Amino acid sequence: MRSHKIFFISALYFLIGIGARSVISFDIFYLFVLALLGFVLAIIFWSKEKSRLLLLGAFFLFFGAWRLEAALPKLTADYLVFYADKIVELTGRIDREPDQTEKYVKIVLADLELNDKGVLKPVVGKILVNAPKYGQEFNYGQTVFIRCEIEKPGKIKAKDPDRRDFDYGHYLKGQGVVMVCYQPFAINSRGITQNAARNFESKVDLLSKAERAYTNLLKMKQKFKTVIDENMSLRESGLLSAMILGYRREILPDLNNAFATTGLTHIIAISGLNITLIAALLFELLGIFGLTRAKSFWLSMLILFFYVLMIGAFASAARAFIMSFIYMYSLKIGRPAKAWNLILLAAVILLLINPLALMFDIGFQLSFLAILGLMIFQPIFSGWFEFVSDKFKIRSMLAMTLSAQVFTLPLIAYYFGRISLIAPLANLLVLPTLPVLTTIGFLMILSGLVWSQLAFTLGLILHFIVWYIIFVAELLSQVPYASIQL
Amino acid sequence: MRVFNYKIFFIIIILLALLVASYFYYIHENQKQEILFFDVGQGDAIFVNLAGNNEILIDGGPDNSVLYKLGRFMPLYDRSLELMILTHHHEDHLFGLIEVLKRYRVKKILMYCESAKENLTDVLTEFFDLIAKEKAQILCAEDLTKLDLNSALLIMIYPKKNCAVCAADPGGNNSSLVFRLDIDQGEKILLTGDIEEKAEKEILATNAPGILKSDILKVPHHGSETSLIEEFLAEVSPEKAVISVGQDNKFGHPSLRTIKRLERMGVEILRTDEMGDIIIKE
Repeated sequence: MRSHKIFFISALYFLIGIGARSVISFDIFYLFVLALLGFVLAIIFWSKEKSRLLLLGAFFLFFGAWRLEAALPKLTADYLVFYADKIVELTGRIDREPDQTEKYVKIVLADLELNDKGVLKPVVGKILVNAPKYGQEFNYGQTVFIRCEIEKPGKIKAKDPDRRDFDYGHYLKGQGVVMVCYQPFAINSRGITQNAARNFESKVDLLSKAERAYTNLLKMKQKFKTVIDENMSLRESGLLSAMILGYRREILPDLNNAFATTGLTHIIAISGLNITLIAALLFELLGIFGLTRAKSFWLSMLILFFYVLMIGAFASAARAFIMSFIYMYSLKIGRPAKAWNLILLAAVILLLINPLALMFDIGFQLSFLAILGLMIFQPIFSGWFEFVSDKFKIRSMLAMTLSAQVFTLPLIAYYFGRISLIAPLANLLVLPTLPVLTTIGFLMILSGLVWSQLAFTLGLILHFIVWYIIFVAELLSQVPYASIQL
Repeated sequence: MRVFNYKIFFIIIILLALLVASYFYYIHENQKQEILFFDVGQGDAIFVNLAGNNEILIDGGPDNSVLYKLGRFMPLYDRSLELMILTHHHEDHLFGLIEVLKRYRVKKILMYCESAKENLTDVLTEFFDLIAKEKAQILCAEDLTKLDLNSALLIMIYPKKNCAVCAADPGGNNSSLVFRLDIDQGEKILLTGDIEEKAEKEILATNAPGILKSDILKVPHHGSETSLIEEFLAEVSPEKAVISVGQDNKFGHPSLRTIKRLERMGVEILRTDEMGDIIIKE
C-alpha cells in the first residue's frame, strides 16, 4: 500500500478515536479489548490487506481515545474542580500572555499548588484569575499566589435578549481552564506569602531557555502593539491589533457585532489568508535582499513560526502554518503533498498537543471546516459561476467565500444562533483590501521600532483602509435581513 | 504562488495617498472651535478644541470610552494634547486618562499638587508613572491664577494654597479644580469637577464677586443633591447647564432638587445621559 494512504487511514482513525471519546463516555478498557481482538484477527488473516488495515485502524482508534482520556482529569482530591466554591490558597505560574481587559488583567495559572493546611500539594487543572490592572505586573512565566473563592465557569448571559448566551465554561475547557477566580481576596505576583513559604526569586531563574525566549517574543509583541496604539485611533487600532497581532479583545463591541452580522468575523481571526500572504511577503522580501531560494524558504518559515507563536498559536493560525509549511516543503522536495493528508496532518499535530480542541475549541472547528469546504466545493462553485466574469478575481472570490461557508455555517448557527445572509457581498467588498492592509500594517509595526515618522505616515494611510472595512461592515449590517436570528 | 500584482498595488497606494491629501485639506479648511462634553457614562470627560491645534482634555471618565470619542473628534494626524486637566482623583474622572496618556502625547498636565501624593491608589500611581515616562510638564493649580491658552484664558478659582477644605479629603470631591474658561470672542464656561457644598461655600467666601459669572456651567458632581447650593448657582447665573451623568446610575444622579433649582432659574439643562455627546460650537 502507498505510504500516503497508510498515513491517511492512521490519521483519520486517530481523529475518530478522539472524537468518539469526546462524545461518548466509555471505559477505555473495552476499546483496549477491541483493539486486542483486532490485533489477533489481523495476525490470523495477515495475508489479506484489509485485515492489516483493520489492525492499523484499531490501533489508532485506541491511541486517539487514549490521548483524550489522558487529557481528562479525574474528579479526585488532586483535581482543582474538587475545590469548587471553596476558599483556597493557590500558587501557580502564568502559562500564557496575560489578557488585558479594560478593568482587569486576565491571567491563566498552571502548575498549581494548593495550600492544604500548611502543606503544598500539586493539583491538576488550570485557573483563570481576574487580576488587578494596576499596582502589580503580571507577565508570562511569573509565579502568582492567590486566595480566592474559586468557581466553575458558567454561561454568560447575553446583554441582548435575542442573542444566545455564551457558554464560557465550554470555551475555557478547550484551553484546559476548569476553574475561575473572579475576585481574588488576595493576589501577589511576587509569589511569597507567609503561608506559602517558597523562594520566589529562585523560581524565576528556573524559566527554561525556551520560556525565556517566549518572554522576549511577547515583549516584542507588546512593542508592536504600542506602535499601533500610538499611531492610530482607538477603533482603528483595535481592528488592526486583532488582525495582525491576534488581540481580538481590542475590537469594540459594536464593531464586533457588525462583523458578526455581515459574516466578516473571520477576517479578524489570523488564518490561512494572512499566513499565506505573510509567507509570500517574506519570501519576496528576502529575495530582494539577495538570499537564495532555499535560504529564503527556511528563513521565512522560521520567522513565520515565531510569528505564529507570538500571536498565541491559536488553532486557525497554527493550522495554516503547518499546512503551508508542509505543502511548500513537499513542493521543494518535488513530491507535492495530497491536500487531504495536509489537513489531517495539521489536525493530528494540533490534537496531539491539545486533544480537547476537537470538542471545545470553536476556532479549531471553524478553521478546519472552512478549509474542508474550500477543498471540496471551491472547484464546484467555480464551475457554477462560469457566467460571472473573473475580472478582479470576482468569480474566484465568490467561490471562495461561499465554499468556505458550506460547513461553517451550520456550526456558526449552532453556536451563535445567527446566520449572515449578506456575507458573500460583504466578503467580496472587503477581501481585496486585506493584502494591502496586512502589508502596510506589518510595515508600520516594523518601522515603528526604528523610524517613528514612517510608522506615523503609514498609520495615516491605514486609517483609510480600516475605515473602508468598518464602513462596509456597518453599512451592510444596517440592511434589512442582513442576518437572521434562529 | 504570486500574491502581488505590483501594478494594482501601486495604483491603490496612489489612490490612497490622494484620499489622505484631500482629507487633510478638508480638515484644514474646516477647523472649528468647540467644547464637547463626552457621553462617557457616569463620569466626566470634557474636550475643548481651540483654534490652532490646541486641545484640552478635562478628566477622562470611568473607562476607555473617552479614547473612542477622541478618535472620532480629533483629526487623524493629531496625536497630541496640549493640556490635560485632572480635577480630582476619583476613578470616574481619572481612569480614562491612563489610556489617553499611553496613546497620546500630552504636553502639560494641570492638577492640584498639594495633596496629590496622599491616598495613593494603584491607578493614581500608574498615572504618575506615565506622566514621568511621558515627561509631561505638571502645572500646579494652587500656584496659578491664570493660564494663557492662546485662544482662550483659563482663570483658576479653586483650590488655593493651604486649602483647609481640601486637606480634609485629599484628592476627594471637595479638592476638585474649579476654573473658568474664557474662549476668545466666545463663551465663558465654568468647570467645577465634583465640588460639594463645603467647597462651594469656601469659593464664595474667598473670591471676589463676579468671578464665577459664566454662560455655561458644568454642574458639579453629576448633579448630586449635595452640590450646587442656591447662592453658588446665583453667582454663576448661567444660560446653560451641562450635567455629565450616566443613564440609570446607582447614585440617583442627577437629583430632582438640583434639576428643579436650575429650572427655577430658567437655565437650559443639557444632559449627557439624554443627549449623548454635547457639542457646543463657538
